[in-house]
Amino acid sequence: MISLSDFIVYWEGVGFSKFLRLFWYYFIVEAPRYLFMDFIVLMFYFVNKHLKRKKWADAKRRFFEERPLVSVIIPGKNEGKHIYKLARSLNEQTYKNFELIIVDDGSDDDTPIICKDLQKHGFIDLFLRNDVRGGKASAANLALRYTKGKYIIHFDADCSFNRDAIENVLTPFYYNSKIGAVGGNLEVRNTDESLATTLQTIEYMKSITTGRIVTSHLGIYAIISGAFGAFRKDILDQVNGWDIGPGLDGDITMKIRKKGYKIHFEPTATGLTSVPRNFSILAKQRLRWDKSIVRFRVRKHRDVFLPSESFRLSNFVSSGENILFNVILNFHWYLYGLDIIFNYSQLLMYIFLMNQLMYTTSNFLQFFMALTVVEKPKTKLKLLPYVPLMAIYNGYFLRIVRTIAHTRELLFRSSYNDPWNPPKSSNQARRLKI
Amino acid sequence: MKTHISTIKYEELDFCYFKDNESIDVRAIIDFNAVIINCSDKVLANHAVHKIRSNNNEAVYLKPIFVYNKIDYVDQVMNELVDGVIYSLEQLGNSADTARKIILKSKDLVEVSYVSFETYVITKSLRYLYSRSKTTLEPIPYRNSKIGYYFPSISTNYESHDENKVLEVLKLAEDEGLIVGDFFENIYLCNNCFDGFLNYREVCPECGSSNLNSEDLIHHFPCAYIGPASDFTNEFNAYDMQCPKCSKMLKHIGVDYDKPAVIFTCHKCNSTFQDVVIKAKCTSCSTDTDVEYLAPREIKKYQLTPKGKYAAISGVANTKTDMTRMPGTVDKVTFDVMLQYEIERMKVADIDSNIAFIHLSNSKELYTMIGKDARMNLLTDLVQVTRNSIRSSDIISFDSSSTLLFSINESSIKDAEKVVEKISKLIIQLIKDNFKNFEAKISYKVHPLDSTISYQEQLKMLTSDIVKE
Repeated sequence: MISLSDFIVYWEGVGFSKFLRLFWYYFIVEAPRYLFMDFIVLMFYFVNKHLKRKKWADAKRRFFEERPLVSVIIPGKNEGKHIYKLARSLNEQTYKNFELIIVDDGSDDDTPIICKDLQKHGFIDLFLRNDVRGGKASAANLALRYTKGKYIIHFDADCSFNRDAIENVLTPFYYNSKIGAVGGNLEVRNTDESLATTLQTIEYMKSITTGRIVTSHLGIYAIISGAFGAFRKDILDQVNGWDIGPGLDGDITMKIRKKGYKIHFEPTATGLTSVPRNFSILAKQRLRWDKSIVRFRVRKHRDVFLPSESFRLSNFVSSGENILFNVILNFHWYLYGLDIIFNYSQLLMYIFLMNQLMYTTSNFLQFFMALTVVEKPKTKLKLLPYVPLMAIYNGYFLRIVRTIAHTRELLFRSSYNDPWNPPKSSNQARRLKI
Repeated sequence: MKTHISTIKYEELDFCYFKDNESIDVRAIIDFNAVIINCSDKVLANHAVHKIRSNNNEAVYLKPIFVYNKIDYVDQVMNELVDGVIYSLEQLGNSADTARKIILKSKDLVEVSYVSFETYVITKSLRYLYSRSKTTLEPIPYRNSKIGYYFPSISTNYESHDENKVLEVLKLAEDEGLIVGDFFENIYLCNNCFDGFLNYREVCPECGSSNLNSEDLIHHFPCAYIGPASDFTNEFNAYDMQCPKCSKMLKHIGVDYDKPAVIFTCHKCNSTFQDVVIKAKCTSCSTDTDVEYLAPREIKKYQLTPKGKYAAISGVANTKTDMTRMPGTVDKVTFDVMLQYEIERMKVADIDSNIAFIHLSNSKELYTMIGKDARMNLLTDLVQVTRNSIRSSDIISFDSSSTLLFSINESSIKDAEKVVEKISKLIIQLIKDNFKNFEAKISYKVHPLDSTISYQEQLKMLTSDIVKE
């Protein structure tokens, strides 16, 4: 066991070059990407937001002048219990000219009864049901087939939204005509339910609210969350809607990017979502999400890396950044670990503690940065005591889950066995190598 | 067409013989023992039978009827309403036996007055069954009945547009314990006119049009496209199906595609939906109703109870829903007792008292038109108007729902006549004000009470002048 004084004495005498040798991964990979770049881009974001506030107000005015019909689509299975709350939250929206279409993908609970009743009472404009489950993509496509709106907003049934969410998520289309799709911001509703939900709340603040502001500003925003995203109907028609998932939200974002449209993240359009309340369910969710990165970015959309007529640098960087940081450097982290274990086995405890110290400091800095962009930052201060746990949550738990997911997908294409899709669809997707 | 009425005598019985008549004169048959109807046309025969059975006079509606059947027009309803079918006058012997039995049983029936139209109809039906030695009242599925079912001895008393009231009367009789019902069928009637002939259609939930197109939804597994079958049409070959998203040909249901649901499109308003609304359009009044809002009714098969059999003979005095509890009136029994006391009082005091009636002769027409609830309201108003025109010591009672009886005490005949005349005018005005286009036919009579004659006798003398339509 080392004492604090030993720890300080050791690191005082280690010297800059050796310190860099021991923590190059942090200084070369992680700190520049997730700390310095976030900080710089957020500065630009605030300046830009201030300078363009009149243009934003003008866009909003034009949006309300045109008052387009918007189609809100919600595909899902066994989501009936959430629909009433969602419909009420939509009923409160500041923007009213929308139709609500629910597609029930073969529910085996009371969802049809609930939805038919809500339709009868005018909460839902169109309720469609597939008696046999076809998967989320087919349900979304069925809704899309019967939409009448100029814009399509895709929601998850277990979310609810701020009153101005629809207004804010659609305004960017009037701000820049090259924007083809807009991602909405998501915060966690069930923060206090368990340690898992608390840690995910901090994660969402960093990786969704802050992270997507940054990637959107850099033009490499890669995934419009299925829980809350807005699309131009004509563009969805151009890309023929959603393809088989999992990861269909990232897939459709890339399909729209490939058509040459910009993807925008709008932090002021906020929804609340419930996250998994224990680590085992969270692990299953993340296994599915992480498998899709390999399936879609490494395989299906690998053409973004090839020089062709439709080659675009932003798509190259967007996918490249995702693959580099999520897949390649994730595996490389293990090499770094082995390097430290083999070459500095006597110093493992010193290095581990210093590593934790640096990542915790980094996490605090990221947390405070996130407070500048999230809603009701004062209420988020109660999360401060949990920030030190993020080094373990991010650095070990999520990394291990990610590694398992990537390995399984790369070696065994396990996403085709994912029960998230019905076997009939997965079999065809596997056969056709989609 | 010329009316032929002739008499056929068979032993001691006189048969009234109608042949191919258009308008049967029911008063003409009162003096006959039975009726033979010989119409070559089914409609005419039906009309004649119904006209007799729906008559208010017991001497008419209980009359044995036989139809001379040359053609096959005796349906189940007709069969219930007639007492026999003869194919030749040589068979008259059998009919004479039947007629004799009916005439004999009809002699058991005690003459009675009725408090309400329902009571009258119930009694009439019970008496018909009794005189024919029947104990069951069975519904007959009948396309000419507004509610689709016919209870011959009851339904014949109602005009077609009021036939739903048959069920109300039957419920009333059942509530009184005169008959006991057993489930036969559930029916649904138009909630506007209570007609049972409804046209059920699948309609658009948005605009109510039945101009709908139904299509299978097709889900193409490889590309997750899903849409109506028409999206998958191949312009080169009508039998092929091609995915509009990935252009692949659909090969094998369950392998590369399936049909997870059906979808409807309305040709009128272009809306899309999966659950059609079932609506019922009334063939009579054209009201289009969601099936959940149709008026449900239970059709029962009824059996006469011992109380019902007794009531057939003695008459149904009243029902719980009758006007015996009408404020401002006394029931008939109390009226009789008080009349008795008044006569006794006249014997010891030098006073003049009177009894009177006011009769609404076209009450059946009015009550049928306005329904039960409105009738009770009308009778309440009627009593109130009357009560305001007489002294508090005068007594009112209902002899029937169309006849008010009065005991106008300590008053000269002249004053009593003035009071009754005034009340008659007020009643006519009241009905006119409440029911436009209906003209009440009122008759009235005032009779001075005689202390030397029994009250029953005097009431009989008074009411014998009531002219029933």
